[in-house]
Amino acid sequence: MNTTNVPRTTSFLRRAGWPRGTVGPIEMGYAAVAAAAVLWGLFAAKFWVFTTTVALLLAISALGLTAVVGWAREMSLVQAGLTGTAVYVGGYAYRSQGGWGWPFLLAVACAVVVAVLLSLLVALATVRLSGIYILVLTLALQMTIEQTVFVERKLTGGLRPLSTPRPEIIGISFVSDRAFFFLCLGVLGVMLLLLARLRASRHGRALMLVGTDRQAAASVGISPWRYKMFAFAVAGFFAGVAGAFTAPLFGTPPSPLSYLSLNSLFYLAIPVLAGFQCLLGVVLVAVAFGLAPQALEPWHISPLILGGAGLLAGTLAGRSGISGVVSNLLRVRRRQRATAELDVRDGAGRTLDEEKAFAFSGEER
Amino acid sequence: MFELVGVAFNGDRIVPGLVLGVAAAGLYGLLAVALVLTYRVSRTIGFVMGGIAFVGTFLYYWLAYVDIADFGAHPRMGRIPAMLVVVATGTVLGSIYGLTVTGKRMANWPRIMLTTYSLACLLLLTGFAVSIIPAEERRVASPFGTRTFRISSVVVTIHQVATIVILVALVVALTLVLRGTRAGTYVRAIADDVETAWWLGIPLNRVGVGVYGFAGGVAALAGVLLASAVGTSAPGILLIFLRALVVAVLGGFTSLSLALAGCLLLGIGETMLTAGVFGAMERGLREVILTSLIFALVFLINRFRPIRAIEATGL
Repeated sequence: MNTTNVPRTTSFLRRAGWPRGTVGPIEMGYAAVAAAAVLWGLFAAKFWVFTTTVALLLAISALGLTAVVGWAREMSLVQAGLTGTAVYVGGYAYRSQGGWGWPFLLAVACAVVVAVLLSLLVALATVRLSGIYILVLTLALQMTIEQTVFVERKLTGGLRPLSTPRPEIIGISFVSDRAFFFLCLGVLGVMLLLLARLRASRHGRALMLVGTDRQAAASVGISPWRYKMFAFAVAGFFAGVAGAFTAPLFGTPPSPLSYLSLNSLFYLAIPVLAGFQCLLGVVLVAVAFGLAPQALEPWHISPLILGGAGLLAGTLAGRSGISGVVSNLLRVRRRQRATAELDVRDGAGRTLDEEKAFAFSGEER
Repeated sequence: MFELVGVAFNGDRIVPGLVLGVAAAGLYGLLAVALVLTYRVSRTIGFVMGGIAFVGTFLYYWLAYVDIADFGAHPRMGRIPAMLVVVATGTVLGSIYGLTVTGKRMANWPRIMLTTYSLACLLLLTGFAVSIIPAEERRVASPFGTRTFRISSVVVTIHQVATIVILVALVVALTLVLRGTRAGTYVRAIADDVETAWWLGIPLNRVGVGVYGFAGGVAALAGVLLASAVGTSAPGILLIFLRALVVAVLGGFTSLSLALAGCLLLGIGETMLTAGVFGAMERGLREVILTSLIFALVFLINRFRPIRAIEATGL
């Protein structure tokens, strides 16, 4: 294979003969993150593997919120409540001691159905109202969940320790922290793929049109309220999956304090900071948000400050968020590199500007 | 006690429910007033007021709390001076927030972005409050003392009476100011049409900062009162803030008098359910009934829009 004519500035894959257009920076980014996650799961200390698993599940829930906040352009402050509900319902359905003792996948389905139904309930009540009402009423639902689900001792355990074991799926045991990390990583990958496919589908585009211009959507036969309900259902589905996998992660039901209304704001900060264009950005920001409180523990920095700073930075960065800023930077750099390649004119490697300077200098070639 | 269409009814608990409900309404009302005021000048929900209330509660705790176990220990400040310091701090915080949102950079931002910015400020203020002043879940003595009164066989504290008196006085004073003064006319003009108000030469920034500063002071005062009523419990403060939001929603975020009516409705309804006027009820069921009522009321308000008519009268 002759690679001498390919300029040195192109990627190593191109130089290795990889066809143009098959691997872009986004695919490369996904591959790099996946490789880093696998290495992390294999070699990081157990504590950090466990903490990262929590962060991966946070990422799944935040991805669901992207459909509401980013695509339908509505604010929802109930995501933490939905996730918490799924944690407790899923855990109750799965554990045999003090629960129903269902198979794990059935318990996951049960948690997902409950979260989707709750999400649809708030969507049904608010979908024809303006954004401010949706915001307040989702917050009202969050508080209702706190006063009803989170105080139910059968679900949360109260002072009585309840054990929710790690699952075994098709004969593979996920008891160890590392095995459960890889299970959650796989689930995150599937959910990411699902959301990416949804975004590219007819329904995803319709949802984004509803978010951008409701009247235009209605005029082309797309029902705004039906698609808004769809967005809330997607958010509920993702919260349900995240919650169902959180239940066996901790062994005993986690404290409801992790799913209070302030945490819903923390969840909201993730897609707002990451931006709504890049799903990988949402995952990375969620992982950073999941790890940062532990990393900053010695300095006693409240996660609320982190969430607030994230929301603030996301608001200042605009709709495209941090991922938009990064992709803009990459685009500018790529354009500069492409321009530099085109400007190469002679064997000496002079650029067009240098060539002009050379021409006016009066030197002989 | 008798049953009416299958629902238990305790007639003897109506009066206590009414009295305590009115007292509870005062707590929601102050925050609701702050929310309505800021909404009138910005058309966004001032979530930041919740953060200022948090700061108010924690700062008042830090200034005025003394543990009973610490014999001979003195608070950093007397309760009334502490309350004044907290209100001043809230006013400064509100003004700073007002300066940022009415400044050149943010003045033309979409409402949803301003709301997100407000949420960010709520989180930041709450985070700083709980980080800087680590407080156990304790109640702080009321700045108004510990006297109690008996109203129709119900014992109410001076704190409850003072809260409701402050709220009513505030709503009456604000209604008079909004209807009868130049500053009030400016606020109403901005609430009606910002662009026209600007063309008429109304100083938008100055009025905006002033309203945010005043609302910040009210929110901080609410924080002080919450420190005595619910203490430094974050979920408790948040619950009150949510109730205030709901009350403001019932008033369409623009009407002080409707917000006050919403306070009374919610306070009395909640207290009657808790007191067992309709039979003994679990907390979860009470919350579901209240939330359903709120959803239904919001739906009805949006359907029939009585707010516009009330707004037209300037109330």
